[in-house]
Formats: sequence, C-alpha cells, structure tokens
Amino acid sequence: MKINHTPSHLDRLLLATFLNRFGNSSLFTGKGDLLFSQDPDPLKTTTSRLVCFQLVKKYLKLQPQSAVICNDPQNGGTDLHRLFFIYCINENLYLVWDQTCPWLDLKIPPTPWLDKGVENSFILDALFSASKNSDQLKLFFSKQLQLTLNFKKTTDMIALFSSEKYQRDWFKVCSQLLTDKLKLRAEGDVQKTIQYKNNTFKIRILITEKQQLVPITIDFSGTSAAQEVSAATHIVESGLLVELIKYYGLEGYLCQPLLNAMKLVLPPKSVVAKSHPEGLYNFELQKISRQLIKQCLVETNSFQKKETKKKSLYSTYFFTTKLLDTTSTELEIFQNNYFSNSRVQMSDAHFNFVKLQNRDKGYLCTFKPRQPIELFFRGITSGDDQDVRCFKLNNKLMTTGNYSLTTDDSVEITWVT
Amino acid sequence: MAQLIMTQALKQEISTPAISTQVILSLFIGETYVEVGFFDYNYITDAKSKKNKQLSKALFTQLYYLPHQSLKSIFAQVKKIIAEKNFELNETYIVSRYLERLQNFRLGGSVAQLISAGFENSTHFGNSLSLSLANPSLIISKNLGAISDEDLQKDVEHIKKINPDCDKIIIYDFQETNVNEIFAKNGFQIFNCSTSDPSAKVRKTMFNAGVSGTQKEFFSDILELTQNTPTAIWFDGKWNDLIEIQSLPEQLAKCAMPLYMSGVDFLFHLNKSTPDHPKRAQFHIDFDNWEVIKQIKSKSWKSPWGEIQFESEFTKETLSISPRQEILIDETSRLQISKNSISTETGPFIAGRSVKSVVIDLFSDEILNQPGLYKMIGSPDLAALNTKIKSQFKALENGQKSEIQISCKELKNLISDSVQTRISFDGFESVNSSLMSGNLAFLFSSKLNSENNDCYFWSNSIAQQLIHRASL
Repeated sequence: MKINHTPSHLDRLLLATFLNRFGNSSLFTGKGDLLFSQDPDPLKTTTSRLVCFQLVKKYLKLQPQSAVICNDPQNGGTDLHRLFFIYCINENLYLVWDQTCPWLDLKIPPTPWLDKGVENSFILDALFSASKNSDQLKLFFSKQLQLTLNFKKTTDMIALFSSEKYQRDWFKVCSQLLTDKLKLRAEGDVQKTIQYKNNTFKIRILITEKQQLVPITIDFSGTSAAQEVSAATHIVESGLLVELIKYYGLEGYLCQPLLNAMKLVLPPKSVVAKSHPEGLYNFELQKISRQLIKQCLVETNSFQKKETKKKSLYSTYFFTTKLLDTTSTELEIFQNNYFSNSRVQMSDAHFNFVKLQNRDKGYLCTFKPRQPIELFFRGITSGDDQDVRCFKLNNKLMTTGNYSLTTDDSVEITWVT
Repeated sequence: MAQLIMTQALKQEISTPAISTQVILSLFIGETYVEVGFFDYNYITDAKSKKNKQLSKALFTQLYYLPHQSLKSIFAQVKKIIAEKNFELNETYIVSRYLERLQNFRLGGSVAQLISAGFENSTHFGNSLSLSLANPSLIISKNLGAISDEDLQKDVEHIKKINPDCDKIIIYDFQETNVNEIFAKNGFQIFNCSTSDPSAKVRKTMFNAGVSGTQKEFFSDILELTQNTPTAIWFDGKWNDLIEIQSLPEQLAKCAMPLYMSGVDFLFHLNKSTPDHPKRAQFHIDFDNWEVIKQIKSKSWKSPWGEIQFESEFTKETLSISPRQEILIDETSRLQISKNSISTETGPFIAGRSVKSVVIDLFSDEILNQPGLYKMIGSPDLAALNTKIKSQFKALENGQKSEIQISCKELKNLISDSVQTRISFDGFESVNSSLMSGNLAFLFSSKLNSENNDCYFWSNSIAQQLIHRASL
C-alpha cells in the first residue's frame, strides 16, 4: 500500500475491506466528517453513530486506541440492546460501530471502555456485576476488543485513511460521483401525506440542480406532534440516507459530501423528531420514512400522472426472539427475523412449525416456541395489508411491542411477498 | 560400429515390452478446471519406511479447463495418457469441487415430494431470496394416515405425467410400508424426511435428492476412467471407497452434501494434519474461489438454497472480491467492478472465449507466465491472447469520461491491497502468518511472507496427504 496513493471511486473496496469485520460501522475524520459508512443490519444507524461520535468528541478527549461505549436511546442510541463503540484509531481517524448485545438491560451513558488499548476494568466490573448475564457480557466485550486488535496489522492503511490529503481527495471523488449521479435522475418536487396510527406524516422532497441550492431537500413540516409513537431525528435520517443511496446507486459512497447534499427539515417534537425512552418505535418510524421517501423518489422520476401514484404503506416487520431461562453465551439465543414486501428471512431455531406452506397466495405458517421466549416485535402494521401480511398471537393481531411467549402460545403468520 | 550398436538397441526396444510404471492418479475435479497428477505408487505407499517423507515430483501433471470440454472427454484424454506413458493405474484419489458449479441453479426439478398437508413447498421459508430446492408441480400433499395402493399408483402416474423423467421422491412423515414399496417398485429413488425436522435438515435431504442425478453421472464417469481399480474420493474428513459407496444405496443417497464440500474439507484437514500449523486461518485463491477457511465449528451451511444442515469443524467465507466479477464501465462512465460474478461458461478473457473482462484477467501477465496455468487455458497463440486482453483493458480505460480516472494497473493494485488486507485481518486471528493454497495464491502471497510462492497444485496436496497417511 502506497501512502501517497490518490483515491479513486474504487477506494470503496479498500474502505469496505477495512471495516469488513464490523457490522454497522462508520469512519470519521479528526474534524468530525463522515469518511465511510455501512449499515448491513435491518435497522440503519449511520446518523445515530454520527450523533454518538459528536457527543463523545464534544465532551471527551479520546486518545489513540481508546474507546467509549453508550446505548442511551435519548442520546444518540437506538435501544438498550444496541451498544455503540466510539474508538479513536488516531487523532485523524475514528471508528464508530454498533453491535446488538442481547444481555444488556441497563442504560449506559458515554462511558470509557478502552484506555490506550487496555480495558477499563473498573467500569466493566461494575457493568458485569450489575447484570445477571455477566459471563455473556464478558465474552461479548472480549470479542469487540479482538476486533480492534486487527488495526495493528494495517498500519499502512490506517496511515493512508488518516492522511488529510487522502480524506480531502476521497471527498472530492465522492462529490463528483454524486454530481454525476444526480444528473442521471430527474429533478422534481413531490409531496405526500399519509395517516398512520392517528398521526399525519407529511413529506416533501425537492431535488434541484440549481447551484445556489442544496440538491436534495426533504421536509417533514406538517407532520403530527409526537404523542405515544415517536423516534429521534437520527433514526429517521439514517433510513432516509439509505434510500437516497439506493436510488442514486451510491452504495459504498455514504460520506460527508452526501450528507452535505441533503437538507433535512424535521419539525422539533414531531413524531419524526422526538426520541422514545426505549426506542420502541425506531424500526417502525424508520421504515415509514423509508417507504415515503422511496415513493417520492420513484414519483419524481416517473412519467405517470402524479395523482395515479397514490400509495399507502405496506406492512414490514423485524423481530428478534430471545430464549429465556438460558445461560448460554452463544448468540444463538438471539435470532433475528425479517419480513418485508420483497423478502422473508426467518430462523426456526426457537420454534416448531405446526403449519408451513408456500402457495400462490404466499406463506401461511403457524409456530409454537420450543421453550419460553421473549419476542421483540417491531414494524409497520398497515391497515391495507392486514389480510395478506399479518402476525397473530393466539388469534390476536400483533403490533410493535415486547411479548413473552410460552410453549402453549401459537403465532400465525400470513405473508405475501 | 556405432551404427551396429544403434541397430541392436533399436531391436531390443522393439522386441522387449517396456516395463510399465505403477502409479497413483491424483485427481482434482473443480468447478471450472480439472487437475491430473500421476505419482509413483511405490514411493507414496512406502512412505512409512522412508526417513525422508518429502513429496516426490509428479511423473506427469496436466490441467484442463472444463468449460472448453466435458468431463467425459477429459477423462478420455487421461486414459490416453495412461496408455501412452505406459502407466499401470493402481489407485485413484479424488478431491472434488465439481458440484459447486450448481451454485447458481435451482435444484429439485425432477424430485417429487409426498408431504403431509399443511407443509407444502416451504423449504425456502428461511430466506425467500434463496434458490428453490423444490418443483411445486411435483408436490403431493395428503392427510397423514394410511394411503391405499391404488391411490399411490395414481400419484405415481400423476408425477410421471408431469415429468416422465422424475425418478426421485422425498417422503415426509408417512411411515406405512406400502408407500415406500409402491414408489420403489415404480423405479423411484426414495429419500425419507420429517416435517418436524429443523428446516436446515429438511433442506439437506432436498439437496441430496436434487443433486443425486448429477452425482450419479459424476461417479459413473469416474468409475469408467478408473476401471475397477481402487478409487477413493475425499469427503467427511476421510477417503471414501467409491466402489463401496456405489453398492450402498443408503450411503449414496446421503453423500451429495459432504461431496459438495469435498474440496474445502480436504484443505481444512490437510492443514489440520500439519503439526506446525494447528490453528491457522487458511486462504484459498484459485480460478474459481477466493476464500478463507477458518477453524470455527459450524452446524449448518448458509448455502445459495438457504441454510443446510452440515456439521463441520470449519467455516468458509468468500473474500470481498471474487475472481469472476466483471470489470466494466458504469452509467457515469467510470471503471467499475460488477456486484455479481459472470457465469463459468464463457469464463475469463484469459480462457480465450470471453467477451467480458473479469478480475483475474487483470492478472493475466502473471497467470500466463506460469507454464502450468497457460497450458490449461490451451490458447494456441499466447501473444495474440495477450494483445486481446490488453486491448480490451485499453478500451475500458478509454471509455472513462470522469475527471478522476483510474488505470487498469491501478485497479489491479487496489484489488491486491484489498485482498492482502483481508488476508492479514483474518490471518491475525490465529497466528501472524498466513497459509495459502490455490493455483492463483502466488498473486498475493509474496508480500505476506507465505510459505508457498510457487504455483499450487491440488495433485501435490493429495499426494502429500497420502504420504502423511502412509507414514502414520
């Protein structure tokens, strides 16, 4: 690896390889700009990581190979089960990643975890002793520490990514790419309003090539004030970013120039701009905003009359099952399942199927837990979809929430992809 | 006088039959290439008595590129070599990745299913994006309980009407003896399974059934080559007697899944048996796969057809870049690497027939410099092939219209850096250096201080394993 290497758009390969062993993760420059980001999980968290990073950077001076952890849903986090790691590779390069940790059940404000590569035993002991899952937590943190050790093997690459010249050049490459991609798609101004769970979601997207204006404006003005259902701005923004990237074919280029090209208006204290203490509705509201912007973007580029393009939301769920009464340290006790309009991904590790069919009308299945489980059920329950896409627990419709299931309970799924 | 001696020698050669050499055939049958190596039978089997257990040089090796010819025709050429070289084939040892060529295809097109009502066509429920293992039109669902012979016969006729070639059936849950009997009587190969099994186990049975036709043909081609001489094929961590397996229908019905994993399983065990390297991640880089094999126990395999039950001591992951990803100009007129790999049938440019440049074409200088590899590709005119590859890349470079442009050489360096970084990351987990195999490993190994900078040959690894086994 040459330290004087000038980046091209294909440097996304190097950056992706660098973050290969991390899931949802981002690299930041010393100035706080987003260098690279990836979000393989169903819940997208790029802006959440940005918020966590800025929060830590503002109040704490991180030394190289030092790291802070946090999970507070009201301060950049998403929910108690997702832990954010803010790691200083060197003063010009920071890594933030988040990882699901099913054994966490307490709120962690920004807390020092690593000090120059050494774990903060005082903090960890306090954390482990406060939890009934201390063995699982120890293993979890040990695996995260292991991930950071790899950086010792890539000093050349770290030197390259930390170089201010490289960072400037990479942003230039991405800016040009973005400009070219914007030219390939139509300009437009589309508005959409939908009702969901007694809330009004109003979205307007304006895409323009006028030089004095930000190319993409997404405005949620007119959206209902938050009552029971709400999510933080960073949750919504992370979802919007992903849809923009997909629409413009910019996968692998989510970095500062793209953030700068987007102006987001989220009315304070609205449904899309108020964090929920447990992050209960994060997935649901992120998905709603993703579906809305996707419809707007497609409409912007469509030749069809706008009034014929009315669409409602479709149901989509992400649910996690967790085995109760187990002391296993394996992640097998935690299974993720995902149902969307185009995809079904489900593990039967915790269930026995009583019925399981795939016919013209889609999947019809009924399952019973093999042993008691906790089910964290998140997603959109669309009224229009209820006959073709729904989950029923003992014949009652399931919506976002946490459920405890025994072996006598029965979950029925109807799903058309 | 000199003329007289020559004549006598010539006479002697004509009148005395040449002494044949007893050989072991070491055969690797991959997704796109076949590697043949002949080794001295006595040297390998006598390893126990030898102090020096180093591998002897192969008596003869040859690589064949599969998309250019069928397996049958390659085996015919191998037979010819045996005759020409006056080899006496004593034993054959085979490692296979041949079934991996199925990885982009739906399976089970000619497999019927008799299933209890309520469980129809459910195998890809785990991941709806995975490839299908079932033919929905050949699924018969019935309520559990006794089924009359007449009804079963009608089902047979129904299946044959839809697909006359269908000769395999998976029977779920039905325990009545007449069910198996009627289908067996009508020439069906029977696979039994239960709907209460985990879906990964059900998928394993479906995979075995779906692949059994290809497997049968594959085994038959091999046995035609080896002509009743002892023939062993590697899977499940050991050599398996192919003639014996052929005579055991129950075992035969279960071996598709382990056979699919034969190559990776062999590499893992070869490494495991080397005392100096007990817990290394190993990297395999060849024409078909760029992958890392780790010593991590696994209960299932995340296959293109969904999760399939397969217990192993290893897991394999593909590296972030694959050898057959296409190099192209994208919609913004930039040089790009495609997301997906192109099919094996046209193959890379260096194979001579392609119209698309792929990642390994970037390394054509190095590959075509390796005599063994060049011979495999079999192009009659190396210079013309080189010119063709270079001009194709030149055209791609010139197709760029963006302000910042990249040369194919820079792209090649970027790919090398990316692969090497990944190797150093995964290698670090166990020990500091990396263990490499595969006929293209030399492309990335020199900087990593790998032990094997020469071109890798599967046939050598097979012989090495046999020597190790003999010396135990």
